[in-house]
Amino acid sequence: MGDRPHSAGPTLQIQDLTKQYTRGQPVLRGVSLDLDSEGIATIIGPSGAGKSTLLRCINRLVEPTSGRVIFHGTDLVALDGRELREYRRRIGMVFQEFNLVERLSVIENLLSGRLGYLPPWRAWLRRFPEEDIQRAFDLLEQLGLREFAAKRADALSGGQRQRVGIGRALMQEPELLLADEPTSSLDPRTSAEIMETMATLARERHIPVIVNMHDVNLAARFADRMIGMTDGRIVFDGPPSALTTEVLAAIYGGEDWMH
Amino acid sequence: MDALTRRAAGEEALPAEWAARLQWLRRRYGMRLAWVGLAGYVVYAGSVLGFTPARFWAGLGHGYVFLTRLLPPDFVTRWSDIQHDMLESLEIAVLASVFGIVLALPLGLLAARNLMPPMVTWPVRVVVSVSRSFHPVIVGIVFVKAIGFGPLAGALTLTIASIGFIGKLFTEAIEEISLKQVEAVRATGASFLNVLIFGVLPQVSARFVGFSTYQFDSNLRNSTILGIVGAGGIGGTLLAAFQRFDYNIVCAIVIVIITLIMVGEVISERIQRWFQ
Repeated sequence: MGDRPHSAGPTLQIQDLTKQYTRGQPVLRGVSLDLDSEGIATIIGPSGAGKSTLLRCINRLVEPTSGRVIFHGTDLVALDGRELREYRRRIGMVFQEFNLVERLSVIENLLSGRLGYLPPWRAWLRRFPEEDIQRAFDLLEQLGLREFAAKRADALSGGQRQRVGIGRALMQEPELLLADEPTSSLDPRTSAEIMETMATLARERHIPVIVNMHDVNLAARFADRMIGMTDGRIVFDGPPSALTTEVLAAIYGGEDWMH
Repeated sequence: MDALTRRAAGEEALPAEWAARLQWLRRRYGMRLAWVGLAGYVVYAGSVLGFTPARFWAGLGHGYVFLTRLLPPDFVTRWSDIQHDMLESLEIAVLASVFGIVLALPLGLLAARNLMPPMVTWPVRVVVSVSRSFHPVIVGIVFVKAIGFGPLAGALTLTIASIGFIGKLFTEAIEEISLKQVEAVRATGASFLNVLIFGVLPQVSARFVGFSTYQFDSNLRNSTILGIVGAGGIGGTLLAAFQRFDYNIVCAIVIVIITLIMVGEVISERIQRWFQ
């Protein structure tokens, strides 16, 4: 892990990012955001506010329409092909519906986090480097899934799957972790446990995290910083303690739903 | 008032509903016409072809005589020919399946619209669908004319057929995969090939094995007929036996073919179960 560049400046600078899937219907309307090199930032906001799109624009799973995404000094929006993939492998992602490869084993799913570093013939033969395999098993142990290594991913429960999802992202040794509604498919207790696991593992490794969340209370519980989005814009940015009723009303619109 | 409120208030609802009803009635009417047309064509085609019950019954009588002449099967007289040609059929089927599958795999992938741009999928789709357009016997005639009599023509014919069918089925399987799993693998920074290996193949490999064994079955069946047009295999001997009225030999050949195909089916079922 040692040689990771821990620059003093911000990990991520998003500048005036816009995205429209259909002409004239922008989903992101000029989002700007700086992210420190540590800590957990949660993005809250109503459905359709553009939270998922924002996250996917960062690792270019979605192409931004305009703006810049500067990651450790490099504008990712300007990259293509191999260069983009080389940056992408430094950014881990956790998904709402886990997105594990269902028919592969748990350990293969974890190891798939290393695919950015593996030539295809080795991927085909599952010839991962010894240290990757060792790390995958260590991580599995930490996630409490040791005995599931050889199980197929579709045999796991939701919470277990999301643990594998987190493991896969951490296998990348990411310098940034993106989590898109990581608990929305889980029950409240499992949601809290998953957030706990993700927060702990990320803090231990000094990885900054951006999490999209629906559950405001859960978000506030784990966040160092909260960002409120409405209609493609950031309308709030501050610590969880600053999240007053008025702010929530501004983010979600109206107050009636709170009572 | 904007359009939405007007519709909500019901002011625009009625005419739209009438139009829908009218269309529905028209469709029912067209449907009935189509049925009547089909029935008429069946009667017409039957009369043109001399398809009468009397002829059918007479045919059944001939069929019975023919069946009695088949028995007992004669495995002895032409056994070395039967053995040689049967093995040739098997070889044709195996070669065609292997080459067909190996070629269909990349073609099927290139034709998948959820992974490839239209510029790639369209030409590949044309190739695959042309491979599927003609019956193997017709393709067999072409190959026999082009490269001469013998099993090579048969093997090439069935390779084309395999490409046509497996290619299409494989493309459809790929187009049905979950892109979420693919997206997750892509997000790790994996190269396109690695995304295929980890994100796509695991989702389709079991079905691909299914298609392949099915195609092997089909190739085995078809390899027994291609000899009729001179493309090698048991079909040639079968035709010769028919033309010489050696019905007991015909019977022996038919029994051997049935046995081979049943064995093939058992094997492919085993393979499929092994890969599940």
